Amino acid sequence: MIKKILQNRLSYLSVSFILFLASLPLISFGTTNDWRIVSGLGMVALSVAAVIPPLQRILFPAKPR
Amino acid sequence: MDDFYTARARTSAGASLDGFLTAVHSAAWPLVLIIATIQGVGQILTVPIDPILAAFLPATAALIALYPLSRWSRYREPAQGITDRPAMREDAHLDEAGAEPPMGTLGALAPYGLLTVLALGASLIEPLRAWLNQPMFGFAFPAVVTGMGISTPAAEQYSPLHMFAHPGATITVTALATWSVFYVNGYFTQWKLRSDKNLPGVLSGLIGSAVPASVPIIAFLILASIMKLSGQNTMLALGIAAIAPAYVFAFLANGIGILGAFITSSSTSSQVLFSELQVNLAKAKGLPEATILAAQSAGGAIGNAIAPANVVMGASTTGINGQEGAILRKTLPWTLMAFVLTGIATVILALTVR
Repeated sequence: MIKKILQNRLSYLSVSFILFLASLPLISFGTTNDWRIVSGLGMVALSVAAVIPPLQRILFPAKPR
Repeated sequence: MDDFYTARARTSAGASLDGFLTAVHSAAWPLVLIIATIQGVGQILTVPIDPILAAFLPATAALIALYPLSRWSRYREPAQGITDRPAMREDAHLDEAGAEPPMGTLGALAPYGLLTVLALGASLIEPLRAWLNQPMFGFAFPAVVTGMGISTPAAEQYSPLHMFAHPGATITVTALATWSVFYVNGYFTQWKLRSDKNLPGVLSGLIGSAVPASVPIIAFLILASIMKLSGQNTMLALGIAAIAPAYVFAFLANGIGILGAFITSSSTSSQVLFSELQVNLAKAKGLPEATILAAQSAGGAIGNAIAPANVVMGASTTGINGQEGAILRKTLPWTLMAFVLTGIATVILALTVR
């Protein structure tokens, strides 16, 4: 499943995009209300979103043309 | 320049490329100068009215000016001496493959007219502008203090988005109106039949083009916010300010923009990453912030010419893969020249404005 997503550019960028968008309200609600789990989830979402594109390049490097 | 062409002409590929470039150079200069003047003078005239429209309106004027220019005897006939490059062949433009568009020229231009009217109305009609500016949305964040004492106060709405006054709202309204008119008139169906291609739906087309463009921008915006709020920008600015005299920094300011565009292959990303740093540096050195920001902005645009991703994309689009080195050798001297000229202009402006 993860391999399939990482092999399709639009799929992995869409996952990254959704995680970026989800992370901001989670961090906001978590930090303003002192809900550690929610803000922690937001940080995880943000970190995973940021890691996906470079990780994809390492795991599936573009074939030389 | 002659020596360069002589050396390049020793290879068949070089001769072909150079013949093309020489012909383009001699034919294009008047056009380039006229269009550049319209854009430059247009920006100077439009900025005091509304900076948001300062790029859009002169660009529209330049686009309109292309029509009378195309009637000029110099450009009425195809230029002679230009060897066909792969990008100029019919099959390189698959989207335009021979099909007659379903709408006339006016119909195709209408969305740009609507966009102009809406953008001007939303910017220049003050009551409408004030009304559109009211609704806003932003997330709340608590106060943050770093270990070195850099503090950011709490915000009920951090950097709120004015969703109806934002230029994106005007573009969205124009896109929706255009889509509705085109759909009602059956343009999408007609184009599908005429081009004999399986076109993606509007929504999937939107996702396909918006998501890949949005991810790096969001990532850079978050990175820039972290750099700003953690005090990294202030620290870097103080470090550079400690070693660079004010006018040396003013001269080099556009170089930081060029570096940002080279690293990220995006002028926008360069502005996002380094604008805050440049403002901090300008404050630290007592230089006019607007001038230094203008230098950063110009540098971002100049750096695009040598940004690796843009060079690779340009080479790929024009069918000269593997010629990236030759492209960089061509663009680097011009980039350096633009850097030096922008640096001199920045110093003159900084001296004048002070």
